[in-house]
Parts: sequence; structure tokens; C-alpha cells
Amino acid sequence: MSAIVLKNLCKNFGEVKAVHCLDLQIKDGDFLTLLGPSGCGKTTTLRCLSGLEEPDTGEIFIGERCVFSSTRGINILPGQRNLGLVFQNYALWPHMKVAQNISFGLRKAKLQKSVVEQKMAQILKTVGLEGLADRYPHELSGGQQQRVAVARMVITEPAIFLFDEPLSNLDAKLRMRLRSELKRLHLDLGATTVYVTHDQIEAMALSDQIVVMREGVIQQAGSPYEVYHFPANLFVADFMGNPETNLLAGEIRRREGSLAVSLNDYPGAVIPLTNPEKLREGLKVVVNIRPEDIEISRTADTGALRCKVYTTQPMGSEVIIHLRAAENKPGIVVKNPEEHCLGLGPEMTVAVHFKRGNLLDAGSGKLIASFGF
Amino acid sequence: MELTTSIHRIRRFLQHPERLWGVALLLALIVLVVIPVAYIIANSLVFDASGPRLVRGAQVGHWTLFYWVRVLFGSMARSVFYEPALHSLLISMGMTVISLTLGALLAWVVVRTDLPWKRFFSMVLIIPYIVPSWTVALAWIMVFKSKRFGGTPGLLNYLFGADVPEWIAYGYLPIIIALGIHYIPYTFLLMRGVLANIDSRLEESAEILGAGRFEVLRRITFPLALPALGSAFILTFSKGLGEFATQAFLGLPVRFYTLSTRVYSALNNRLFGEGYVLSLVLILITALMVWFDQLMLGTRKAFVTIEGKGTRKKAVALRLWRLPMTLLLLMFVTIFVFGPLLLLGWETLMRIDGRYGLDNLTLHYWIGKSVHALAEGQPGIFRNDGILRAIKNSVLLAGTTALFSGIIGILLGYAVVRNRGRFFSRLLENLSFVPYMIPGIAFGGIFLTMFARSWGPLPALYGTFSLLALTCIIKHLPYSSSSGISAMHQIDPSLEEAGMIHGIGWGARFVRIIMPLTKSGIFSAILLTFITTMRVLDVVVLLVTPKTTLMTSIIFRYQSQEFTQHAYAIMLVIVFIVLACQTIMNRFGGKVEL
Repeated sequence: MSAIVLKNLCKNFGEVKAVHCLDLQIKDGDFLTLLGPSGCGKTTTLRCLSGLEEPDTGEIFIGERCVFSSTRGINILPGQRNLGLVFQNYALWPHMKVAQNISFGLRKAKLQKSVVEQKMAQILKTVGLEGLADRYPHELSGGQQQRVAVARMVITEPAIFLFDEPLSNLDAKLRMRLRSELKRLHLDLGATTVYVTHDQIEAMALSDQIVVMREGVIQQAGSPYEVYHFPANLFVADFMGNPETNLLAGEIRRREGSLAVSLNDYPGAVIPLTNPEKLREGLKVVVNIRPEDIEISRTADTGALRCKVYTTQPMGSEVIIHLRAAENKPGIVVKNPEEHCLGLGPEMTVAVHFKRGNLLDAGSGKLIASFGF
Repeated sequence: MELTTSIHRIRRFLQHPERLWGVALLLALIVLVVIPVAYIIANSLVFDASGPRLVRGAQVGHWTLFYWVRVLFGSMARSVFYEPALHSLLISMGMTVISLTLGALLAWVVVRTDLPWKRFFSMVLIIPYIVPSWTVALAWIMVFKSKRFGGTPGLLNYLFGADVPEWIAYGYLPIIIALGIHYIPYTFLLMRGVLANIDSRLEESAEILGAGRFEVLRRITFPLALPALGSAFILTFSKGLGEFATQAFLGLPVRFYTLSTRVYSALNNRLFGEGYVLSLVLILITALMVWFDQLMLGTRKAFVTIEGKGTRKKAVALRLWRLPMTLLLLMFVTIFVFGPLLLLGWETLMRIDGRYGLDNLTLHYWIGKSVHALAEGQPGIFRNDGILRAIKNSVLLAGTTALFSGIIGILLGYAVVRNRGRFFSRLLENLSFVPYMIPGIAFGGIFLTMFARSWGPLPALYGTFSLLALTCIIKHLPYSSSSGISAMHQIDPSLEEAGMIHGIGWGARFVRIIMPLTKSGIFSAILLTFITTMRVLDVVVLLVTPKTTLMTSIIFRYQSQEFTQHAYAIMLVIVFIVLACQTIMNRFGGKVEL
């Protein structure tokens, strides 16, 4: 087990700045996820850490040991960094059986055959592949191949686990199940884990810490709760959440003596401000409100924002409702429990109530205040 | 500080064996490809041994434009350059039109219609390209030769007694037909690939909008296939320019020259300066064609729908046409695929050339002992030490070339694919393609000149087996590298990276991961190279000596010495060997080299 430190890491591919001056510290035993859209530099960062890619500048420490330093000319080979990696496509060697794939990494250790067999049996049991040791990878299902890849990584007992989108090639149901197994594996073995994904739900479900990246630069690092509820900027707010969050343009105005937000497209909306001291009149803002933080009701209390239902999409336990105040105006997405929405249909008028959200500076995109929390 | 950073950079570079390989191969290619071409250019600009004889006061080795002026503008220019060039261009044009029309048509019939016995036709139609290109030429000579041109009568002459006009027996017509037939499989395979890759949903969309079958073909399929058709045209054309053997067999007896046979006779008669200039012109024309093709492909890529899934296998129904089409194809196969081979076989069984009766049949030229009255006492090919040595040499040469090409191919593929994005990756790929643009006869000439003398510690290689092997290996480089590159593309880099993560060194990764995963691709590449080298004549014809004589060069010599039965028998041995290799390869799912 080891902590990881990345200092001022840069990696360019030609003109493209894949990773730009990245600083990151990962606590010993933590599960950290690098999250972002494709091309944001998350995989490059992981590959630099593993040693498969060579950064242009910067330093990398694993535990006390410096494994890469551009100024001191250190570049430890991947095999000597004491880490394991599960690739997106699993990278199982197609010409080797499951047992050979898993034990390949042990051949350097020169262990006795019985020890290897014992380890193998144990690993196969851990990942639930008993009886499949003599199969070739192509004779396995996607989920089983993924388990082989995990077993191959785990058997050498590395201090660090690296995962490069390990679940993205699987169907939705299997992904859920293996997600839970990966989390349990981390709990049981306690190795420091760096996990790369573009799937925000996966990131939230697994991580102690999420690092959201964009164009090679870290946008926000924090716990899943922080990243989801207090996005540091517009990009993070927009990237997190499914269905996508509501970003409504507005302005701080003085109303009946105190400051309040007035929305450009929804003049009737009322957004209470709990701590208005940091705000000043006339500031242009973007209001970020998660769909589940909006409540709708058919009994209209006076003064509430009123919208027409555009469509309803029942999802089982919840219903996603698209609302519109008028033609040509951006809609509002609402996610409410099913029992709340029975009998709701298009063209019905509902009252809308914003429970909580954030205010982001329309100019810089940065988080400036929150309300309702 | 400066110094330490550069030391760091060098050390980091050295940590990557794939980069070292890339640089090493690059150096080798520069020595074996770039320098020879440069050497030829330089040598075309100095007086050779013929200089003092042709020009007063000329000194061997002095700089001069004499050869360029002589070939391009001199009093001999017409017969040395312009006429052969015209012949070359017209022959290439004619044979390209024939092979492309028929090849594309056959491809469409085989891929897209409900023709019966498709597998059989697909296999058989490839044969003319597997057997040596001059198979049809030899069969043609046997049918159409005539006493009037000296020698024994051909089949027609024998049957009808009438003389066959020269324009039928030799020159444009037979060369165009013989080469056209040889290249039909080439265009057939190119167009088959293209047609199979056109997304059939594009055609179905047109059908749904009410287009008839012919309209779909004309307005959808043909325009989509057009860029590939254009590319196939240029490639076939440039290959035709480099053809030597057919043009030699069907042209030299009546002094009908093309550029490639001109190069041969110049170099063979030790008119080196002239030979180099002609070679360089030939290389330049071919390179321009290939470059033009790349240019066109680059701009047309936009609408080539190679990505399509092509899921439909619903064939176009030929209906009433089905039977006549099948019969036509069977006839074609009988006459042009099996016909020439049967004719060659018959020739080898004739005791006295030119007598086509049953009483004249003998196995003498295969297994007979020396008889003074027949072929100047040459025994049958399986009792003939000289010929047996040539068979051994040929097999050895093909084997050596194939093996080395396989190894070089995979190393080149590794260096190119793993260094993608680095400057020398692109350079390596392009350099390995250069021999493709050099016609075989010119290539042989270049290596002849280059290695006739010693270079430092390297002794003169002329007359050695090593020179033959080296020349064939380098000439084959474009194919080796492209098969190596495509084999390496099959392997996801992560498979090797997973080994790196486990601390497996480069050598072990290569042996335990790369080699096992590429072996089927490499195996078929090796067999293909074997086939290609087995039947090669143009590259080696200038390089063989009595000690290193090959089957193909013996055929070439015997044909002109009128040891026809021997020549044709050796020819059939080659055909047998290459077809056997092809059969083995079909078993392993290999493809034909284009």
C-alpha cells in the first residue's frame, strides 16, 4: 500500500496538451476516480502513472519512491513500479488459457509449482472463476474475461491497482454487479486504487475521491457528495447528473428590500437566498438545480412559477418530466417519485418549486453560493 | 544542465527497444534502398567502359550528360527510347482495360449475384495470377508460332498449313492478351474486396425508393466503386509497365522492344549508361503513377464507404442469365485458365517439336536419358544435373527469401506500428515501399551494378547466391512490410503493455506474446513470398550465373535456344510447386498477394 503524488505533470501529443501541469495527491488506501469526457486526459494520466506513457515534465512518487522525474532523469519501467492494471479491453492474451494468463506475472518470482497452484485456486475462487482455468479467453463471456483481468492483476499483490474503464465494455446489468464486486475487492485488499471512467454514476458509486478533468486540467477534486452537490464550476455542474441538470440564466436583483435571483426566462420563479452577503445586485449568474431538487404540484399556491408539461417519461420508481414555460424558452427537467406524478400528462399546468441548488458566476463559471442546503 | 538533460533524453530513448529497432532498420533501409538508387543516378552521369569507344576523348568515370542526351535526344533515341516507351504505354493501357473490365465484371458476378459454384470460380479464377505471368505467353507461342519466323511450326500452322500473320503471333496483340489474362485475377481480387465492402444498405435504400436493378448498379454501386476502380486502373497500369518476361518472349524474337526489354538488352550488352538512363525513366514513370494514385485516393477518400457492415447477403437474381453466364464462365476458365497449362503439358510430351500427332508422344523430356538426336543430347529434366541444380537453387532461393522476408516483415511491422507518431515510423514505412516503384528488371540492374564491386569489408557479391537472395528480399520488402504492419495492427498494444506491467522484458514479450499472435499471418506471408520468388524472372535474369542458375532463367535461355520441351517441362514444375503452396495456404485461410 502506498500513497501517490503527481507533481506538475505535463504530457503533450504533438500540439495537443493531453495533461497540463497536473498536481494530485492520493492517500494511501484510497479509491480515487479520474472522471471526464473522452479526451480529457484521464487515461493519459493513468498511463503516465503506470509508466506505459512517458510524461514530458513533472514528477511521480509512489510511496516514498520517485518513479519518474524529468529533471533528475528517472523513469522506472512499468514492471518495477509494483502496480497492476486492468485494461478497458482486458488485454487477455488470446493464445493463453485462463490459468496461463493469470500466472504469467508470477513467472519472474520463481515460485514452487504448488505455491502457484495454491495461489491460483484462491484467486479463481475470489473472482468466482472456479473450473474455468482451462478455458481460452474467447470461450468466456465478457464478465468472465473481466474477472480474469482482475485476477491477473491481483495475483502479484501489487501496492496499487489501476483500472482503465474496466466496465465500459459490459452490458448495464453486469456492470452494476461487477461494480459492487470491485468495491468489495478494494475493501478487502485495501490497495490504493486509481480508476478511470467517463461514467459519472460509476465514479460516484465507487470512489472515496473523484477528480473531474477537462482538456488535461483538473476541474474539481473532492468526495462524490461535494462534486455532485457543490460543483466547482459550470463544466462540473453540467457533466455530473443524469438526467442532465438544469442550468438557468438569471440575475441578482433587489426584491422587496432583500437580494434574490430572478431568472431571465422564468420571471415568476422565486429562489430564496440563505446567505446573500457575498452577492451584489446586478450580478449575472447561472442557477444550477438538479432535477430531483425541483418539486411540482398540481395545486397552485399563489406566486409560484407555473409551467406546462411537455412530456412525461416514467422510469419505474421515478418520472422524468420536461416542463416549458413558453415556446422558444429553455425547458426545465424534473425528476420526482412516481407517486407524485400519477395522472400527469402533456399540456397540464403545474406549479414548480425549487428546493435547493447553486449559483455560479455567469462570467467565470465558478461556484459562488448555494441555497436550500 | 544542458548535458544532463541530453544524457537523460538518450537514456530514456534507450529504454525503448522498439525505437532502437526502428532506427536500426531505418539505417539498413537507407543502405539497401536509398543508396543503390542514388548510386544508379550517379552512374548514369559518368562515362562507363563504352564511353571512350563512343566519344572521342571520353575518360571512364568522368561526369557527363552523354547518356541522357543520347537516349532522349540522340539519333538512336527513336529506336532506343521513344518506340519502346510507346509500346510499353500502349501495352499497359490495353492489358489494363482488358483485365479491369473482365476482373470487375467477374467480381460483381461472383460477389453480388446468385451464380452457382461461386467458391469454385473464386478459387480457379485466381490461378492465372499465381502461375508465372508468362504462362499464357508460352502457350500462345506454341499455338501461333510459324515456320516463317524460323523454327518449328505451331499448332495452327501444323493443322491448317497456313502462315499465321506476324501481328497475331508476336507484338502488341499477344502481349496485351497474355498480360491481360494474367492480371484479371489481380483486378478481380481488388474489385471483389471493394464490392464486398460497399454497404449493401446503401443499395437497398435506393431499391426502397423504387430504383430498378440496373439503375441501382449504375447510380449507386458504380459511383461508389469508381474511386477504387480508378486506383485499380493505375496500379495495374504501373505493374504492366514493369512486366518483362511476357514482353521478352513475345517481342524479342521479332525485335519488338518495350522499355523493360530495352533495359535488359542494354545491361546485358554491357551498355550500362544507356541501361541506367532507361531504368531511371522507367522508375520515374512508375513512381509518378503510384504517386498520382496516392494523390487521387487522398482526395477521394471522402466518399469511399469501406466502413459499411454489408450485412445483406441477398444476391441479385440472374434469372434467365444464370445458365448462359455459368457456361460463359466455364468456357473462360477452360480456355484461359486450364487451356494454357494443358497446352504446355502437351508440348513437353512431343518427341519432335511441331508434330502434333499421337505417335509423337514421349516422356523423354521428363525422365529420358541423353539421346544425341534430341535437344543436343540433353537428358530429361529429372535426370539432368544442370536442371536439377536449378530446381534446387530456385527452391533454396524462394525458401531463403520467404524466411527472411517473414522475419524482416514482422520486425518492420513492429517498428512501424509501435512507433506510430514518430518521424521515423512514417519514413520507415515509405522507404520500405520504394522497391515497389522500381520495375524488377531495373531493380536487378541496380543491384548488379551496386554489388559487382567490393565495398570496404563487403566482398563483390556478383555470381553468389547471397546476391540473388539479397536482391529478392529487398525487392519483396513492400509486401513483407505491409503484411508485417497489418499483422501487428491485429495485436492491440494493450496485450504487450499488460506484459510490461508484469515486468516482462522486451525479448520475452516478443517471443511469448507478439510471435504467437502473428504466426498465422506471418506463415501465409512466408508462403506467399515463396510462391512469388519461385516464379520471379525479371529481378534475377541479369544476376544469375551458370553456378546460380534458376528454373526461371533456364526457361528463358532454353526458350531462345529452342529447347522448348525442356523449357515447358520446367515451367510445369514451377506451376506445380506454386499451386501446391497456394493449396496449403488456402487451408490456412491465406490470401493472394496483390
